[in-house]
Order: sequence, then C-alpha cells, then structure tokens
Amino acid sequence: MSSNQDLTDFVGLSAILTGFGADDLNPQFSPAPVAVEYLQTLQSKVDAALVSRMLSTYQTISGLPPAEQPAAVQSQILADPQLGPVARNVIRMWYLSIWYTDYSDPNNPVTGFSDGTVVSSNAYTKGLAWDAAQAHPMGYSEMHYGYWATEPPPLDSPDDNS
Amino acid sequence: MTEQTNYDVIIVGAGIAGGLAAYKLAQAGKRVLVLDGGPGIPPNRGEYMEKFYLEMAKTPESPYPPDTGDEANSRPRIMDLISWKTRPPTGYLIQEGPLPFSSTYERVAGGTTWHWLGTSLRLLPNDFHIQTAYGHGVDWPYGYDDLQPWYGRAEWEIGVAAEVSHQEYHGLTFWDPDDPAKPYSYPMPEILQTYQDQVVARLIGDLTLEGQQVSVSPTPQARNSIPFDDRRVCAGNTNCIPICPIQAKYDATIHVGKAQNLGVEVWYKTVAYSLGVDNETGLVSGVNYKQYEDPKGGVTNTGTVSAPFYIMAAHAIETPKILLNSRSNELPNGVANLSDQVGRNLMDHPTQLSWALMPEPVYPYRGPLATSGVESLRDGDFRKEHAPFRMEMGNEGWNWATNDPWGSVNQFIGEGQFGPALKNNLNALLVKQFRFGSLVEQMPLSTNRIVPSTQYADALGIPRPEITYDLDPYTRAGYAAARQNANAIFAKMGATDLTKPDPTSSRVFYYNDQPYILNGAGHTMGTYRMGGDRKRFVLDADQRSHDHPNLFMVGSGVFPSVGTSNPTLTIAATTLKTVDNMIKTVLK
Repeated sequence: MSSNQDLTDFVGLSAILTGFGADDLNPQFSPAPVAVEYLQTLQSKVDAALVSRMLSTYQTISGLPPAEQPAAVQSQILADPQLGPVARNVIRMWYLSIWYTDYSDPNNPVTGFSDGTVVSSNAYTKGLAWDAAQAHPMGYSEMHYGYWATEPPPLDSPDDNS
Repeated sequence: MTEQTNYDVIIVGAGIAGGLAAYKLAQAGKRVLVLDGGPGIPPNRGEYMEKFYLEMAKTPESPYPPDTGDEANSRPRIMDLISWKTRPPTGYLIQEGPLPFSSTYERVAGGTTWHWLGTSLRLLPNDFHIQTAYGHGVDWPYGYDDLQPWYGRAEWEIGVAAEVSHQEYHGLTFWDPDDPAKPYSYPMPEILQTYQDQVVARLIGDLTLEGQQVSVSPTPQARNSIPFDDRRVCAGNTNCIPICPIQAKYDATIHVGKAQNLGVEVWYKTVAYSLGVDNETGLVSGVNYKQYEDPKGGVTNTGTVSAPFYIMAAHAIETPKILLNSRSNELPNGVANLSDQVGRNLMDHPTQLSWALMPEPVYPYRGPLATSGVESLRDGDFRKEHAPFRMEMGNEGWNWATNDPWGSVNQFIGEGQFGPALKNNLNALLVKQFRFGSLVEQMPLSTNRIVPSTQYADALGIPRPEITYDLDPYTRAGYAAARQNANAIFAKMGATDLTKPDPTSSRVFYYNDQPYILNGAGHTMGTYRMGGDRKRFVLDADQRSHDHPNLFMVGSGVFPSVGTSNPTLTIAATTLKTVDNMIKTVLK
C-alpha cells in the first residue's frame, strides 16, 4: 500500500512529468481520485525498489527551487536507464489511462497499438490527452447540446475539465 | 419437428429492418414472431459502456459481446483484418481476397445500429438509374419519386434532424409523404454544425472541382437536437461509433422495444440457419433454428417454426448465408436463388481517408462524430468516368486515420517530451487535425460474393461466411479521385496534407501504381438485390422472392446499386414501403 508521502511525491513528480498542475492531477475534493489508482498501478506493476528509488529521488528534487526541478527530473529520472522508461510509462498512464505492458525496450518503442491495460473506466474518463486537445474523452462528455459550435475554453482555463 | 404456431409472419433478425417491419406489422394487427441470434436488449447500456472504456482498441465492436471468434453469435471484428489471410482463420469471416471485406456488423438485438453513425442522407435521384444515366452499375426497379414518401416516413419514424433547404441539392426534392402538394419538414431542427465545420466552409470559400461547386452541407442525422420520442438531446460525446452513451442517437432497440410493446414475440439466442420449402407449392414452409444459452456452451435446442409469411432481415451477409445453406435436391442453388444471384454483388462504401493539419485551430474531438460533409461530388457528368463519393468531415481529428490521440501521445513521449512542452505540443497538433472520409460508390460484381464455408463452422455447427472481394477499376478510379479532390480542398484551405498510405498494410491496393488503403464503411449491401428480371435479380420491386411468393426480404442486401448515402435511412424507407405493401396485399 502507498503512504500519503508516496502519493504526495507521486503527484508532485507527475505534475512535472505531465505539465499539468498538482491540483489538477489530484484535486482536493475528488470522489474518485485517479492519482491513487495510478500510484497503485505503478506499485503493482513495477519492482518496489525501483518505485521507491524514483519517489525518493523526486523527494530530494522537490527541495530545489521550483524553476530548477524540471531539469533535475530530466537528468536524474528521465535520463536514468532504469527510471526513465518507468517515468515515461507514468506519463503515458496520465495522458491515456493505460499501463503499457512492454515499455523498457528501446528497440521496441511503445505505440498507440502496443499492448497494455486501461487502468479503469474512471481513469479513462480522466485522461489528460483529452484536456490537451481542449476536448473530452470520446464517450464521456460533461457538456451540453451545441457546445461544439463555438471554440472551447483556453487550454489552461481554470474552468477546463482537468 | 415443426412447431404449429399462430403467427402471421416470422421475421429473421432484430435489427433496424426486422425491428421496423415487426413494429409496422404489429400496428396493423398482425401476429409476429422475430428470431434473433444474439442476446436481448440490455436493461441499460452501462455494461456496454464499461466494456468500451476498458478496451484498448476502441473499435466499432469494442462495447459488444462476444469477445472471441468461436462463440454462438460471433461476428467479424476490425482487429481480424490485420491477419485476414491466416489459416485457419483467426476471425469469423473466411476471407478469400484478393482484398479483405473490411466492414463489420453486430449480432445482438438492435443489430449494427448500436454503432452506426446516424447519418441519414437520402439517395440522389440519379443514384436510382446510374446505368441509364452514366452507363455504369445497375438501375433500381423504381425511381426517387417512388421512394420519396417512404424516406419522409422513415425520417419521422427514427427521428432525423435536418433542414430541407440545406438538402435540396443534386435534384433532391421533398414533399409531404401523404400529400405531394404540401411541403415537407424533418421532425427535428438541424444539428448545429461544429466550429470545425464552420472554419472548413470559410477556408474553402469559392472552389469548383470536376465541374461542381464545392460546398459544406450540414448532414441529416438520426440524433436528437430536441427531445424526441422520449429520448434526450445529443450531448456531443463524440462516440456515435462505437456507442452513444445516452441513446440520443437512434438505434433499432427502440423499434424492437416498440414492437414488443404491441405484442410481438422475440426469441433471442435463436440462430436461424436454413429455410425449408414445400416442393409442391414452392412456398417456404419453415425456419430451421438452433438455440443456445451460454454462447460458449453449444446448442441447447433445435427446431423449426412456421407461418404463412416470412421476412428475412438477418443482415446482408447472414441472410444470403442462410438462403445458400438451404440447398436441397430440388433447389440445388439454395432457397430463392434460381437467379444464382444470392450472395453475389457484395458491396460496401470503400472509404478513402485523407488527413491534414489545418492552418488554424478547428478543435476536433468535440460534438457528434460527423455533422457536415462535402456532398458536391456525389453526382455529376464525371460519373461516366469514375465512381462518385461523399466526403464526410470527421469531428474526431485523426482518430480513425492514425489512432490519435493514442498515436501522437506515444510518439511525443517516446521522443523524450515531457512537462509543459509535451502538453503544449500535443495541443498545437490535436486542435488542428482534420480528415475527410470519402465514401465511394462501389459497383456490383457477381464475383464479389458470400457463400457458406464448406470447411469452417461456427460454435453451433453452422457454416461460417466465406467471402471473395475486390474493387473494380471504376470504383478504384473513384477512390483515386476522392484522394485528389481531398488534396485540392486541403490546398485551397492552406492545410498541409499528411495522408500516408502504409504499403505494408493488409488492406493496401493499387490504382495507377499508387497505393491506397481500403477502409470499410460498415455498409454491407447488394447480396439479394431487387429488380424486375427474375434471371438477374433475387427479389421483385416489392422485395418479394421471384421464386417463393411467401418470402420477403428487407435490409441493404436489396440494393441493386448503392449510391453514396449511408444505407440505414434507405433500409428504413424500403422496409416501410415493403411492409406497407404486404399489409395492403398479401396480408389483407
């Protein structure tokens, strides 16, 4: 099981990895927090020591000034031969709600047709790719008739559904 | 053993054709039994939605049972097309090529309307006599004016949203079905066009291609723009295919349900596999069926049911399979097949995908899957040279074309992108994606056919469909023209064409040495066509077998030629026409 500290670190790291704010990824009042599902998925699919190293590496990075953190995540996590593939699969999970099965072979890159598992139906409805498109998950609209006839709210609008 | 029944009519198939037929017959006081091979209508669509959410590949069939190819109601799946040449076959269809038939269908109550788009275009007047007008294909046994009233009735029956003044092109005329002197209106106001549709129309501006003024037309759609028939309005889930989460889009479970409310009996999980014929009278004498409970558990019961009249509505692959599986010493070609045309002339609307990056954001992945199209090249003198096409404007970016957003998200992450750059670069790409899906009119070929396999049977021991399929040169020329014209429109708009046919695809074909990828539209047509000449056609103009006077057939198998309109509305119109005639004549 994950501790609160693990969740805090996971969300903080995920915010830097995805480009979405920590409050967007794990809203304070959420009936079905997808961050918890994703952390559990990560911990169930990846060697515990590796997950632990990734989160503790981030914990150290989180003590740096905010402007220096992305570069540190890049050099210490994404560029790490073991942590990098895991971190990239975490980004995929946030954007597409999928945990891809084979993600660490550089000769066999993950594509939109690779094998994997949709984390849950709840997760599907919260994929960040749809927010990046200023849209909604196909099959899950919270909008009303005719919204499509005008431009959507701006990408980083506080009203957007992320 | 034959069960004695009190039914007036037995219908095989509970899709839109069978559902509408059952409902109309029941309204006229007829006693009707419907046999359907799949499970019944689920009490809600939650289970189907859950399955859709959890599927990796959001194919048209992804929400629906069964999952495997060896269950009682197995049917083709998009994923089977990747390995269509493999033997033993991995999918339900036995594909003999040279091209794979690339459309799929469902075998559940409500049929394939579970995942139809909802596009409800009428055929054009010239579509009914293309042989006479252009020297290609086959004429219908009647013209647009004969079907016009039935189009109107069909539009009110299933609920179509459109504005007449936007549909009066290529000679289409509209009048009140019951009074030619009165004007017609659709039952619901037109569905609002997307922001994308508006940008595309503005950027195309003034453009003429192949002698036709190019314009963007709002598409008539069987989805609710206002509450209609106790169903709610569309919320723009952008998911008409594979499944509308809220049933704002019409599907045939509605008429199957209405028919049941009027007393129609429906036997689910009851798979018709052949028809019996009384050799003295020439009348069909019964439907032979197998029943199952567990789709993986095999046959639990077999039987035969009889009634004075029969309507085949099992789909344009399953209906000919049943007829051809009914061979006997007296009828060596099978039932209703003295013409030898049953199962032949299999057609689709081969769909050419062209995709581009727009010069400004159009914000796709919003709204119904398609709300407009370029209908300008559906008719014109060029039909003497190449097949016509309609250009559907997708509201789902490059989802069909390149599997986005899944494709680009993985590509960008694989390149090392992360953080705000990843988010912003994806945004810049996704909001400018646009594609045309051009539905090309396919010509009938007698060699394009479905026959019951002599080698492979389904889980109930019933022969599976074996398909031979190809595209004729005129259709291929239309495909190439669709590609060229899409490119011309992209150029006029200042969009960057990014269409890239993969020559290693299992669905590649060539025209003038250029590769094209075959896509199915889900429109299976032509396999029991109607026409006056009993030597060339299976059914007469009343959709009655030339050979067996108590056997009628409905569905897109009756189309002698297919035009460029998505077939469901024409299925509904021809079914209503046929059943009305049955009620006024043989069932009087």
